[in-house]
Amino acid sequence: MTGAAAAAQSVSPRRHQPFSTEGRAPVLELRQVVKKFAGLVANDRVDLTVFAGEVHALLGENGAGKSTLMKVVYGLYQADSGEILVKNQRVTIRTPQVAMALGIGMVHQHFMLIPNFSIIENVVLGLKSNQYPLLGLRQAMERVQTFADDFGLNAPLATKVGDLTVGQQQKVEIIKALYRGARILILDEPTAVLLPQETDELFRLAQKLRDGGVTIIFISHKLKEVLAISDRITVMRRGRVVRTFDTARTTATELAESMVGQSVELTVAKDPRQPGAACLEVRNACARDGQGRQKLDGLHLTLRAGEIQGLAGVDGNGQQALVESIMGLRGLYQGDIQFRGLDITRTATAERLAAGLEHIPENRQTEGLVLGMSVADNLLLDTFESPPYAAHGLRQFKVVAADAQRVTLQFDIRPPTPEVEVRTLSGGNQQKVVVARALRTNPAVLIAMQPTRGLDVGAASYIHKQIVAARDRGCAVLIISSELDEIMALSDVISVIYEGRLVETRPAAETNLSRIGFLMAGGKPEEAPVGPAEEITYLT
Amino acid sequence: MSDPTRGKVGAFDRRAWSRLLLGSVGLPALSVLVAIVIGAVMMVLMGFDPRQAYAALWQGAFGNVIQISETLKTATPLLLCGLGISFAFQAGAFNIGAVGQMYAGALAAVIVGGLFPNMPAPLHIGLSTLAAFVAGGLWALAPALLKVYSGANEIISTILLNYIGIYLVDYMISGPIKIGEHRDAPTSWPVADSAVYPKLIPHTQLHLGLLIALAAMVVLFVVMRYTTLGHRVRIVGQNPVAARHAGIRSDRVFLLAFFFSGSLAGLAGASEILGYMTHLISGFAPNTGYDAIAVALLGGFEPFVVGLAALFFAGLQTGAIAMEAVARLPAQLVGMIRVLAILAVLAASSPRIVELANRSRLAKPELPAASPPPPVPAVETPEIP
Amino acid sequence: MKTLLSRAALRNSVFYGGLILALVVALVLAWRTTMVSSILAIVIAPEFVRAALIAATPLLLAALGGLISELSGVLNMALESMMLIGAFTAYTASDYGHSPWVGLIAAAAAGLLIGLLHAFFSITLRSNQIVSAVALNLFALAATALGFRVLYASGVFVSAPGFEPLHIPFLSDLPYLGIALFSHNILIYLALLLVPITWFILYKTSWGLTLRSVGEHPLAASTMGINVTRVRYLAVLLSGAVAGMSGSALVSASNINAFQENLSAGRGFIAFAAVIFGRWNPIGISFGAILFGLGDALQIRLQAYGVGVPYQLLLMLPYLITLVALVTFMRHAHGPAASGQPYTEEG
Repeated sequence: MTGAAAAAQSVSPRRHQPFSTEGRAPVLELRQVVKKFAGLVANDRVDLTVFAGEVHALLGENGAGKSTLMKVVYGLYQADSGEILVKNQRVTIRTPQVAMALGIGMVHQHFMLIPNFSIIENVVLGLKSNQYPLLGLRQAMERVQTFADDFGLNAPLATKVGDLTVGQQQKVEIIKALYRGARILILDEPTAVLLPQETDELFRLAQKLRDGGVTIIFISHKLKEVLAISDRITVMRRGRVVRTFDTARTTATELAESMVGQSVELTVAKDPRQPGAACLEVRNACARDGQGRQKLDGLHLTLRAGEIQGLAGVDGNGQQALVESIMGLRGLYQGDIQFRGLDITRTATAERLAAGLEHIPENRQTEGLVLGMSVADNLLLDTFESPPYAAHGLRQFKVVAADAQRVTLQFDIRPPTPEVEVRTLSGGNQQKVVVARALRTNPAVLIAMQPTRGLDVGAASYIHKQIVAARDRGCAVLIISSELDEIMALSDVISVIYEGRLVETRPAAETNLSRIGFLMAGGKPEEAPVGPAEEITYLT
Repeated sequence: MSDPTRGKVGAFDRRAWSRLLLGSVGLPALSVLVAIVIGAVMMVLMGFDPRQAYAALWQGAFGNVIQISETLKTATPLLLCGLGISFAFQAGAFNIGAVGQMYAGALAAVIVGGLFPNMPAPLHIGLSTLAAFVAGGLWALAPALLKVYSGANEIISTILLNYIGIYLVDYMISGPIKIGEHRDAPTSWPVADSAVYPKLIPHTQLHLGLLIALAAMVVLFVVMRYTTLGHRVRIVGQNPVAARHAGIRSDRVFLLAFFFSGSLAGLAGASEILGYMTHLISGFAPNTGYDAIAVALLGGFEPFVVGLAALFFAGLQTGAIAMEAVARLPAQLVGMIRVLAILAVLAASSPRIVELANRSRLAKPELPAASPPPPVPAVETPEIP
Repeated sequence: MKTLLSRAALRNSVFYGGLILALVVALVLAWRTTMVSSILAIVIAPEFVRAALIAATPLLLAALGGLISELSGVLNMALESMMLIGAFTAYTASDYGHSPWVGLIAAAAAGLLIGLLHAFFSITLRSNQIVSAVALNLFALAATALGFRVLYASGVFVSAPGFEPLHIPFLSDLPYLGIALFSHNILIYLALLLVPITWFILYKTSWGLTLRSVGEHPLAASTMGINVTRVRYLAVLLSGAVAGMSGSALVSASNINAFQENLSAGRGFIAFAAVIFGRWNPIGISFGAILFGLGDALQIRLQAYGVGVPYQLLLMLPYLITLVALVTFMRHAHGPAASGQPYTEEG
């Protein structure tokens, strides 16, 4: 992550000094905390000690239990057993209100902001003003404005939060916590949605807060960030604490191995390939959304057989519209789409699927699966009406069952019982169902949107292998992801999308993260930084 | 609600069948029991003898052939409407407009049935029934189209169309199709003899409509469980977005579901008119469409159980008259018992109760020993849109 | 954040409202060649405006009740049942209690109980909120039928004590406005007063902010320490009380101050439509209620004056107007973001 590298330079050299715990008071202690959900132990006898004024990272892959643990601390969940101590006092944190009263604040991974409300309304929500029962916004404005100026939030406080950029929204979240007097600030995967430059800014902000005496707990699954920003790192795996490291005294490899429990390859194995003929061409695509907003603005895109094209961009710059128009879920009011020489601009989705276009939608639960149905039915969601799965309109259950069994084994979907409800599968296995459905027909074109979001390393790595294998069979692949590392590691060529157009397309070897980040934010290609491609170490 | 093929791919799994049946019938049966008990309490409070009252109720509903045929006759429109509502529900649509659709169907039946007096009977019956089928379907299609193309809330528009339908029928039978000037209540012209449904049991009012309803029940069952159409409907009902991504035209399925839901209600209207009423009168079925929602709910939206539920409701209705005559109980009390059954089913089928019921069946997971735990399915943290 | 209805929306409502009304009247006229002047005379007469306000009041109260519930994220289609039970309770209570105020309070209490049931099903049991509303509507029909049968077995309509029209010293004697606006009973003034009060509470108090947040993003609200369940319960109970009072207004709207079976005849649903029409804003809702009340009053008037149109078609008028309004400009109207979705507290 370039952002992290840059931050590493601007961050004080303290990072390289071992963090001494002598003479420091623990500000938060967790002892043998257990948290269970139905059928799962999310936190398994966790011990954690955080000292005043440190930046403490909680590192682990998706599903390790980091978020859950902090939600217990913040009072959103109740621990089943164990103790929590704040400043050496035992406390029971039943609600977020109690947590806030203890000085604990949390910035969630998915922002807890109300888009229709203004910044000031979001900040004062739930607090009793001086003029209670009246809202008394005018009085609060002054104090909030001070925070806003401090953090560089340069938007009028009356702006609706939904109109702010993601980086600005995050600042509002932080202000919310500090306005309530938080001295322990928990940041849950804060950089997941940020541009590299915004990540820089966040790190500087964190430094500032730390210098002001605020203790920061930083949850992340990204090694490099954690190494750049933290004083100490606690690694969690499968609900347990593996070890707490001193940042200055550990390495990426050591951390990675603790996270996953075995020695891990830090790169994606990929043979160089010669790209084939152009398979899918999107020409001058223009589209609007339901509210009349411009989503695609003359977009040109070419996918070649046997090539993986990665598309980088900030969420909301047209990626969704692009995928939808390629798959026939959204119409273009101008432009066309050519597939192997055929114009498919007006073809229905079902026909495009039959012709060999497949996609992995962004949100597997709402767009990719019917949770209440079996794995077998989900595998056939787009083909259940065709022979041999149906004859004369009647379903052929035995054929369906046999087929499902085969595909389940082929794609290593666990548990290998395709008659169970897909709802009961883990996130990784659910995604495998979606991937299996897309790849089993050996498609000519595969559009994968956020294919490994929320998945643990094992599942993510498996899906990457599948995608590369598809490419090797001649499939034209488009990967859209907000994980720039994933794009850099997988893609043969990389494009950047901004405001409904493709800004640039370059072979992966000829670009780097800072260039991509610059273009993602709207910079012009002529002015973008050019430099050598960095060494890609990619884990999650 | 319950997906008939949930948890299995093949359809002939005996244990699953019995579990399904028990689950589908057990719940409503329990609710009915609760309602009966509360009803008994109310009776006692009002100074009546519950045993005598319920005995009279049973006698009135199922006591002899005539009573049974009355009950079945009453059950027919309830079943037809209830099936329609169940079908729409499986598609994720809520059809509260059965009243209006039934009226539209009755109107069409009385018009087509009243014209062409010289048509051969089977043809006339078929034509009138078909007219009702289409009329009911169109009456339901209108709000569905409004929803799809202009985003108008289909719940409100169907309810409004209910009232509009009632007044339209009122107007028609006082005007264009009225029978004559000298009547206390406005009445339409009669249906020709050639269009009247044959009776199933002589000297009763039980008519062909029952067979139509039973046939519809079987057809719906087969379609939902064994056909690709039924599967498509269920996919759209559970997740229209994923359906679209898989190439299914969710909008069309929605419209189709609404249409057939309405046409079944239209058939209900036809069966009343062509079955025994032979005239369309004002206020001939103001509540059947709403009662049918309760029937569908009580039946868990499963065709055969809906049949049982319709029978139960009809029994209450016919039994109430006898109960009033014999035990001097106000018939409205029976209406309360019916409503209590509905509320009981609503409670028992709510997600929370189902959750509690499931939780008590699952054993609590043991805390694993020091060795690494076996891979367990991780609970997905809710993906917040 | 819109505190007042925006200028454009205000203009829209008035314009379209008038347009719809004119259109409908024109349609009605097309049936027969009746004198246009007599229709106009009806519409312009101060008694008509008065009748429109009287008809609008139950709709307004029910809609405001519905608004409170909706803003908290609980769909309240049980307005019809609250209105009906409120009407029945108002009637019987004012009859037995010899005062319309007893009826009003009893109606509010009855509506609150229905609200409690709806809240229990929708919030605690997480049932489908529409199914819950339909079940409650059936319950109201059955309960009021039973109650009416038990308490008034003779079936004779007894007039209960009602709210008398007020005489305001100077204002009631004004030539046109006196009849139109200033000779109503106190309930109507209370209802109108409730509009700015509701607006103030919703947008200027912290409880209002809390309420709206729960309907927009309950999870976010809970992270700020708000008890979503409690706020929703309170909202639905309050909405029940206000909607129950609409039943009292309904009884007093009928000249004989009496109840009959299914007195509400779907007005609860029209009130629900008014909430959408008003874009979930008290001021907009009042316009919607007045528009639909106009429709109600119009059909009665046109019947009485023998316009020559079959009265059944006139009876359709309020519903037709609502339907047309629904289609023309409630397209894709968006309510609170979390409306209708049950909220689960985790962990």
